[in-house]
Amino acid sequence: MTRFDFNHPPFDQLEPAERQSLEAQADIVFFGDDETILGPGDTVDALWIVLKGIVREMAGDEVIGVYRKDDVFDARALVTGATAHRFVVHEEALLLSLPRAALIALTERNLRFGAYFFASVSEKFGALWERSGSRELQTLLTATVGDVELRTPVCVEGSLSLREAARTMKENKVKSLLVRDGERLGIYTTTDFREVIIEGIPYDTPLAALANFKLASVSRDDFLFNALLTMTRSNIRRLVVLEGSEAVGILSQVDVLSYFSNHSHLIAQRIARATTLAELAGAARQITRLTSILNSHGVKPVQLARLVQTLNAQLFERTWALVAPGELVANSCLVVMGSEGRGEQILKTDQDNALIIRDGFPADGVEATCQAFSAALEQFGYPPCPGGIMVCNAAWRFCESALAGQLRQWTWQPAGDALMNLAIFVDAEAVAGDAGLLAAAKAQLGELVADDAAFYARFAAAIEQFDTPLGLFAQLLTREADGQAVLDLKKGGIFPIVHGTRALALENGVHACNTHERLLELARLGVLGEEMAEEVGEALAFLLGVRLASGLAALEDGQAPGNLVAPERLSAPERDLLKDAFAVVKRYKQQLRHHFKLGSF
Amino acid sequence: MLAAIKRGWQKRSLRDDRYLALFDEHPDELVSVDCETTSLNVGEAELLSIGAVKIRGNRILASETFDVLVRPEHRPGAKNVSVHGLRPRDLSAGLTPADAVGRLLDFIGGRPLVGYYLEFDVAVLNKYVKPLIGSTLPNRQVEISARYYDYKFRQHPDSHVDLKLQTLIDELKVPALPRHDAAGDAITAAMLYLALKRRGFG
Repeated sequence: MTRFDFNHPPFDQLEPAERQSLEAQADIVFFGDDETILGPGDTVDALWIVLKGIVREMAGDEVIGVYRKDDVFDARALVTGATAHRFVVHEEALLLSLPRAALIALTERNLRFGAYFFASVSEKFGALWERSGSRELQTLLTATVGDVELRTPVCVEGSLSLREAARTMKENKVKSLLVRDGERLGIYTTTDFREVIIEGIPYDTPLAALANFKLASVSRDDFLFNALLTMTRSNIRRLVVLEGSEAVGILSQVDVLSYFSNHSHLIAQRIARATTLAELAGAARQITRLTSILNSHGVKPVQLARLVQTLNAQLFERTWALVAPGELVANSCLVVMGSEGRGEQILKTDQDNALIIRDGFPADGVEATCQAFSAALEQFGYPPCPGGIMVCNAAWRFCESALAGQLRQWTWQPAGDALMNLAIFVDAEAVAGDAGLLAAAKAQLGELVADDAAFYARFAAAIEQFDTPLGLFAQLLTREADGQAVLDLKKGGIFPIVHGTRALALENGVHACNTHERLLELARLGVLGEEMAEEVGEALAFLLGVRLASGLAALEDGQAPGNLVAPERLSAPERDLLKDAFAVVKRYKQQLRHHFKLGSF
Repeated sequence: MLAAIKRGWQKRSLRDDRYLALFDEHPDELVSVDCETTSLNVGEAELLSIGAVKIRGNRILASETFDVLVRPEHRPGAKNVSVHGLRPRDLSAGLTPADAVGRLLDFIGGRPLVGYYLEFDVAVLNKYVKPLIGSTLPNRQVEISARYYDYKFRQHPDSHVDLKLQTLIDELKVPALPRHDAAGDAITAAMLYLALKRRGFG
């Protein structure tokens, strides 16, 4: 047993004997307020663990990190032997000083321990996801039948003829029917029609004569893997799901397997089959639940976001098809923009959409259609965009020529929201109608801004709009005084990454909207170094992940998901990574500032 | 003045020149000491373990902790075992009291001693020190509870000052160590000392 608590990263990777030998070499050092522990030019001869008190990490006058009990600093300095930052006591601190030589020796002996010190930021992020992935795997085994979106059973009387049964199946787009025959409950599936054809059974035969009444059932509350076991054991593909004694659904083997592998295709099917807005609303709710399940299973937010984007696009397309007349659909292009366009909106935060209408198409009735569309989305749980960037707002419905004029104006007279609107439009992605309309508008925009360095500088300048993210830690320190410690992930990290990458993408003719794809493409073009692109991507993924987790928690508490997180609700390694992520953002901003010559305009 | 005379007398009464080191000054260094004993009565108390740690400037040299078990001449009572967790079998590997104290003297040299209710520890140690070197411990002593009293009294002259160890730990914002043994308590006392020193009561 050691005298000090070593049950936190990276020391939790050490064997008990290693911990003891390390502790035997540790000294305790006391620092008063505002004393400097380590600074530029100092020899780094120790790694420090905070036993008590608070230490701040300073880059110049800026606070870029805060260390509390059990936090460790500074791993990077320990490896390189020097630091560019100053570590200053913020609140009287007792620190454990671990000699550098002993630690370096340990990193050589214990590779997992060493990985903490030598892993690049992006690898550290990966390790965190891996850990949460393995921890949450168990929840997959505890999923219940009720967690699967059950197919609502189509129930018919046993007296129904085979011909009518076939018609009912077609109309309801189902492959099986529940057959009620007096007290008995049976099932009839499309496969059974093979017998009808082979045996030449007349089509007016009642279903009851052919249905299978030996049904296996499962309770809604039972574990999903039990259902799978029952199917495997009795070699059947479907189970009737009972709630009490009432059949509430049919669980097919495909449902179970797809829940385990790709739960999303059921939602996609449901969207495709929906014939009313009410049915779509159900599917929309499922998307949020799916997000929560997949996130808890350790699916990375980047992949998750792309999945949600695909489902959302299908949902929008289907909704548009239900509210808009076919003529309008064919002669217009419905686009989603901003985070939805980039595929980075995991939880429904707002609806950014617009409509491009073919020149010459009559505008009558378009407004009413658009109102209905926006209202439907709101009903699905997409809050209206506070800036009114929605098709129900006339300012975001354009005919082709009007859009061309608008783009020119946004580019050349960048007053007010012009640049923000332009930024939103740059991320537009077509979801329904003629995608060619959007492609043409984007091509026009590309020509408008080609080689206009001054424009790019104006456009990119928004990354400076918010305090540099690392400075937020300073705010954190002061805001903590009145019990309000929150961090704005969007202003601090997500926006600078997204917008900076967007500016680079626009400048270099990168068509992708998703930030990660843009980063990959920019790295391929040599605009960004590969390591930078990767680290920025990982930092964004991490920030989106933190936002997702806190958003899901907020939803559970019945609150709207937002961009604010309370750092004390994060675990120590998460806080550590958050700091790393912000450090990446800061480096990225510096590069962007230099690239777009932001100082000089 | 009086202290200097006392120290001179102690020095003259040294039996063994080896212990002259006890009069060597080590500026900026102190030693925090704590003993586990069989009783809280000095007359009966026997040493069970001695912990000590050097303080150099603002640094507690925990890496050079002095931590020895002592084999008492009488078996400790069951009641005491439950307090310090030292069972007779743990102590059977311990040093003889004379050996342990001799090593402690080498460790502390002429450094001032720091402790929480140090007077008791020093009194018990002196039972072994006197026969060994012919003198009691000549080292200057810094009593943490007294310094803490002064510090609190300066803040609130009229109030009652709670001198319980836990109160000091809480008030001076020192981390509580999970393990209670002589060396751990010596480290805790050292941390309390540095916190008081920072406040001008070192």
